[in-house]
Amino acid sequence: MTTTTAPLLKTTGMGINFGGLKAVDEVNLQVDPGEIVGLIGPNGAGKTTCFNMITGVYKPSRGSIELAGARIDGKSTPSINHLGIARTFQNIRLFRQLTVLDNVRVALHRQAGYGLLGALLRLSPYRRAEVSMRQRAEYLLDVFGLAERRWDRAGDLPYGEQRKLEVVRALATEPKLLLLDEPAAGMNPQETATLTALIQRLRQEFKVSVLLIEHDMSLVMKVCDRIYVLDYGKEIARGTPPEIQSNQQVIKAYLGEA
Amino acid sequence: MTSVIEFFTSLGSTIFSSLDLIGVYVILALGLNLINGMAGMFSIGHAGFWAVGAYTAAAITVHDPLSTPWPVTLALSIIAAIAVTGFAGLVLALPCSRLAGDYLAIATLGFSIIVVSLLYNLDFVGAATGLSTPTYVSKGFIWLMVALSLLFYYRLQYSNLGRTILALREDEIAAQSIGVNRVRLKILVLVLGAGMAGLAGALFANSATYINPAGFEFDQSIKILTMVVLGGLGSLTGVVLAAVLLTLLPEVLRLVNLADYQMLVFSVLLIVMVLVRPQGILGRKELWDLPLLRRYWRPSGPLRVALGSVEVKS
Repeated sequence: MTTTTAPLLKTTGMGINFGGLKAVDEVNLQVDPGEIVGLIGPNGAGKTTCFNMITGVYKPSRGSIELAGARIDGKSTPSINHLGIARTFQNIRLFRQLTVLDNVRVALHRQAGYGLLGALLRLSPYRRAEVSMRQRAEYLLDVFGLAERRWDRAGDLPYGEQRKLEVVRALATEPKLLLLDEPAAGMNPQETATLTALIQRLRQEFKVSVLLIEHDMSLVMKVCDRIYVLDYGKEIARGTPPEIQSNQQVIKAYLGEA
Repeated sequence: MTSVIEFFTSLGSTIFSSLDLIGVYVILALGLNLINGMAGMFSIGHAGFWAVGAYTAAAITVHDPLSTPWPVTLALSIIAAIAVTGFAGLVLALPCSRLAGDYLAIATLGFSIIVVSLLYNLDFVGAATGLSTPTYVSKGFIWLMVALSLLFYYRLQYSNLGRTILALREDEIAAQSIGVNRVRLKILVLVLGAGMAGLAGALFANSATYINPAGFEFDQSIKILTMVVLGGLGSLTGVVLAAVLLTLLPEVLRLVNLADYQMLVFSVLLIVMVLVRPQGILGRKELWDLPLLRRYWRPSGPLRVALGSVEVKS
């Protein structure tokens, strides 16, 4: 990296109210370039709400969000994606009626580089872009073992493959930071093991940093460099996986008081 | 035996004489299918756009303000009809693009009612009596335009732009998360769908001998909507099929002296469809998705050939 590397993502005092409820309060997250960071906590702790604020679905009531040093809070979801943040969803949101291939191709829309007229006349920019988008989509599908499924309707895929397709779709937008919301939910141990390897590959091969929400602790402890723990919308701990595993407050939040 | 031959002869001539109207409805249904099927928005006032197109074209061909030779007047009337109707779509889309579902339906319904009431009162275009229009276009020309419209729809749907429109229909939140600009696309869809209705209007005004406001009332909007739903929301070939069938049906009923039962037949047909096949004739599929045809061709076929030499790393 260059001289003083700004953190890729930095939230300062980020918080949001829903009515009178402080759903998330004073959350300070930081993801450095090349890092895989975990965001864990019991159900309802506000993890997905953090994702929704970072991606512009919700506007934070307090605090700031910076991507590589530039404020992004208040920007729209599409423009935040253009700036380099992509995500997956806890309750899968694929384009169910479209083919697996088209789910990925649609995410490549920004590299199309032709407009309505180009599409109607099928000029050479159209043909070149369509071939390169197809190649890129095929490559990504192949990396994730979905190439055989390219003509299937996305809604017809088994659950684990739908989750993988969401990762591929997000990755296709060429993000700097990928937010994964429970990618291993509903996967069997073998699928989870494959996913673990893929997340590590995301960093090595695709040079993306990852912020990961996950309840599968074996996955979290294996892939994450650092972990933040939320409870009731507040950060209760941060540290490396061994530190988190032995943190009394974290154990209490998960298991309740003895 | 002779009566059978007679029946088919008159059926043939009925179909032939309906060809221009069929073409107009195919284009109308395609335009509405773009809005309601491809983009998943809900417009129910399509006849309003159709009326704007027809009257724009008629005003030009009847009044002939530039006194041009007729082919030029015809071309002008078609271009003006598409432009004015597209602009009407834009004007309607700007405040509506943030609206979803029922609200857009109400806005388009209101728009179509306003258009028709205006036409009833504008002396400039004949008010309630309507306008006698010159018949400049032949059946061949109309079907040339149908072919162009089909090509337009097909190429739009199977382009990157079409895929983003489909994605927006499937899941707005996910589409935005991959950088799709929702408002811009919805405006574009309404403008294009309205523009196609404008083309249909121009062809209608230039092929019928007479147009009046009563021909663009709300029942026409419902008829176009029925074509789209019956064919299968979003299915290009299904909607064309339904537009052809529903335009021919009243003519065929008239042929067998059942014209009085037209509404009955329509209603029964709709009820049967809703019960037996609520997703429409083809649902979301296309004719080329049928197993028989699928083997030979599918939309991204040519690109697959181009990809023959692609090396996929494993």
